[in-house]
Amino acid sequence: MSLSQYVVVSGSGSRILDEVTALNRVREDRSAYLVVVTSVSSLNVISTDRTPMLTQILKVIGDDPTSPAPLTAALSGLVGLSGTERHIVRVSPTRRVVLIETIETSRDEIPWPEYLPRMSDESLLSMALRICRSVNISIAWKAFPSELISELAANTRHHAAQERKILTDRVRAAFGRHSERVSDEDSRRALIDLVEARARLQSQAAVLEAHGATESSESQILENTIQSIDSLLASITSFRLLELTTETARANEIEAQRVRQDAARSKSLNQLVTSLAFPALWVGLLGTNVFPTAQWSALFLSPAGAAVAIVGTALFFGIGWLTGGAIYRAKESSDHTSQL
Amino acid sequence: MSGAAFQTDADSPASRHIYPTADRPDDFIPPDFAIECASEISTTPQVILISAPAAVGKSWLARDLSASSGNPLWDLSHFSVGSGFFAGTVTEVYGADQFAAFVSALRSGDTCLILDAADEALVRAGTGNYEAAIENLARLIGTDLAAHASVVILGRHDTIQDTEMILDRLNVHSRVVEVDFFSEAKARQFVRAKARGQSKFAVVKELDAFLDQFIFDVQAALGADVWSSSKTFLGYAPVLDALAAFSKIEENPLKKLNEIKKSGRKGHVWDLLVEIIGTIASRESDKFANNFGGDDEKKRKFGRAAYDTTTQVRMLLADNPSTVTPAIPNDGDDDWLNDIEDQVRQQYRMHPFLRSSDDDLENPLLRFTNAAFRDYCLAQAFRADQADDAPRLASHWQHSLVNPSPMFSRFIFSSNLRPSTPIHADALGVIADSHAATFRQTDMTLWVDSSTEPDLVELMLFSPQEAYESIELRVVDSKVRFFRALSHATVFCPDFSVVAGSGAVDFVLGPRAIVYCDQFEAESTELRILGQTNSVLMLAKRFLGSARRVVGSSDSLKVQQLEGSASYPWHQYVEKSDGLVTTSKGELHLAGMQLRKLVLWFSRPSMTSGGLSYPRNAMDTILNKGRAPREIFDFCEAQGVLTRKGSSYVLDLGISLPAITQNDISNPELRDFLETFVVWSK
Repeated sequence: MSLSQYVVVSGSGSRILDEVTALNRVREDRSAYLVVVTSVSSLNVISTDRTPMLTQILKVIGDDPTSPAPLTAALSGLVGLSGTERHIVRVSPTRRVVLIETIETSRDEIPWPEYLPRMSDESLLSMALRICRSVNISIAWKAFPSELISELAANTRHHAAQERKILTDRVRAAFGRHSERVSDEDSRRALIDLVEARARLQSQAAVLEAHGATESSESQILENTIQSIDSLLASITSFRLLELTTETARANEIEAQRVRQDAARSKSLNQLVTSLAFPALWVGLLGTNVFPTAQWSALFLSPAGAAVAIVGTALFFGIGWLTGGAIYRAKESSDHTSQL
Repeated sequence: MSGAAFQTDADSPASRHIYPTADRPDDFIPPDFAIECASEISTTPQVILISAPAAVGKSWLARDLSASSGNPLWDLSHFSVGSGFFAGTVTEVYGADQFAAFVSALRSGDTCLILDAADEALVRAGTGNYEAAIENLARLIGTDLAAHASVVILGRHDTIQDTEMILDRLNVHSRVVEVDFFSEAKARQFVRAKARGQSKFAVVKELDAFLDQFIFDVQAALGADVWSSSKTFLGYAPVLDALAAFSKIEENPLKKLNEIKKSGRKGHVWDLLVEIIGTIASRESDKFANNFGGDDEKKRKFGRAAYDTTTQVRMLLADNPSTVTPAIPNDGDDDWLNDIEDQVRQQYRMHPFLRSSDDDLENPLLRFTNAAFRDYCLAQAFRADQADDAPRLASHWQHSLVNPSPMFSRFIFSSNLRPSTPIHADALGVIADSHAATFRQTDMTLWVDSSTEPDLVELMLFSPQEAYESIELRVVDSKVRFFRALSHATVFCPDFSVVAGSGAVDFVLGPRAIVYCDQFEAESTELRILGQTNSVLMLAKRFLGSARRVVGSSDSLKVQQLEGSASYPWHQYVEKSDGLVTTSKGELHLAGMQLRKLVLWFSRPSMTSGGLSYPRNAMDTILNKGRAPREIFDFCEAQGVLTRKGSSYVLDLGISLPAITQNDISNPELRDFLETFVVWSK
């Protein structure tokens, strides 16, 4: 907020006036009150008891300079166009003046999310005006600062509630989709959102703490929201863990199946190789012509001889197959026993 | 047991606004009623909902109902209603020992609560709290039907509609009864009764002739030949009130009316009313001049100048009238100066615009006898544009007890009160509230447009029947502010921020509202969307603000955020992408608004063809002043849908007019036309 806004509160209502008119009005009308909404760029003023502006106003209107301690609250959602500015509000009450200062405390690395509403520079003034108009402020003036702090807390609560709801929806959506189709993207996005939201809220809480507002209801709201986000994080982390475990088990199962299939294939291959050994020897034997050519050549050139050769080959193949099977079964049994 | 039998606790603060039975108002003319659900007439509802336009006299009706039935009247405007409100207030006002008996009497229909000012209660507390209060009331009265109604609630149409929906949901049987504008006979009776009142004339001379003439003139101006076409003006209580006041002070009101008509250009019927109210103020000046000056002409002139209409308005609108110094002329004798201020103040106390019993109220807008006089003075004050006056009056206007009436928005555009130079931007919120309080199904559109000058916005009122000149407003911080409502309006301010409901609990958008702006800042706690499908269309680069809730169906509001993605609570109303290739939706809406504005100028039906026409000279002037969009005008001409015929331009688009006025880009013809225009303009 670049300019100061002056709201004069009297029995006839609350109205925004320019500085000079407002101060004159409050100086002349002792039953009137003044609310000033302004912005402060420097953090140094926080450490002083009263800002020079308030001292000056009290001097101009000729009012009692004693005042209770200022109250501090966060202005959740006032983040500027960049979305990274963080503000707190300091409410300094005196007998007839309340000075409301917005102070830019820091710029957060994590921008305000697009899914949460942003405050405008009009919002704080609007809240102050609404309180002035909702009650007979002449009677309830003393309650005005605490009412404003409550309104700011309600604003923070509203944002926190929205944040919780939206993040929970995202987490639920991520869970829901996983039941149908395994995809990392949604749960990874939800996880990042949660981590970012947590970091942002933590930073907001730290700012409040740094400005002495640890007992405020806003701190409590932030703490509760962080706890909720932690629960969501725990949920989604557990879910991710469960998902990883399931995927690992599934991968192991696939691997085991592959090994089993490989083993079966090897066994079949080996058995085949073993089965072919005897026929190969038999055919080899026949091919070496170790039998006397005179007696045997006629036999082997006849159909009966060919049949003997074929039957012999088949017989040796059968013997080889059965022998190989027996050998690999014995080996498997031995492997299984050693595994146990 | 009637409600009056229950004794209220006089010490309870709430009992100040709860009357065991109200006093019967003087000269009360009962209005005519229209019952919306005639089919249910055979059963007695538990709750009767009386709906009436702003300022027709609901409070008088409530008082009369209370007085005639002997039932308690609750003025809700003074309460912040919410959860447990009715049970709590019954306990507080009637005492815990009478609670059971009171509730039993309510349930049996022996006692009936008459609840006035439901609108103020809703505006003050917000929809959520109002709903909670009605739920509490429903629990008190139960759901069993009785011989008589247990509750009567009076409010404006939208409030009554909301209340009916809540009661329906709770299975409470209700019936809406609508207060109609006065019939001709009752209007005449009303003026006669009011004029007779405490008039110094025993019989108001020529009153009937005056009324005949007035009715004739108004109907002629509106082109209406039957009462029903003009009853929103002629049957409207504040208008009749002003006529009665005029008749009271004028010995020959007919003669005066004829003089007014002859005196100058009268564009529309509201000018006539402005003149009549001005005459009443002017008569006050004369009266004071005669009392002060006696036979001395110079002294009379001096007195008239000291208590002229401007001084009267200043005093009537002052926070503290006793501090207002009359504008005393320099040419007076010293003797005259001694007592003129006292005499002016004495005269002021008897001003016919003042409600005598309430002149100690700190909000000056609550001191007036009726909304017509209040709005006349406000229009005078905004036109005068005195330093500090506009924010002060705008602030008073936003008081929950000040009920907007449509008259201010008509007066400020009238020939006599229209400001010729730019006025303070705070007037805009007041004008928009007043325009939003207009009667249902109005065909008038308030158009708020960025001017060609920086930091100025132009305000136009489009009506099919009458022509209004525009007015300009100075914007100080690139923000245009609306206080309570924006209805029957188009805001076309792409370079400005629009702030809605700053400092308010409730803000009403719609029916028929289109907003195109740089950023939309919703600052009321809740926004209520009124109207049917596509009733409200909003386009902005950003949506900001502290609003926590938007109440309305997803059909009635369409939102398009031109940069980034929409945040809560707007995201649920965002228009879904529909795969536009050549043009963005924003460009189409923008083009649609230009076409809409052009079409509003062409609102007079053509005599020569089936299109819309406008006199050529007048349109050329409008185009040169930048008040109609030149680009789309040229495009229409290039496309051959805008042609010159004789002394007129004739527009024949072949697109349905409702689609254009609602900027409904889902209409295929409109969409094709706009897409072609966007490509053409690129």
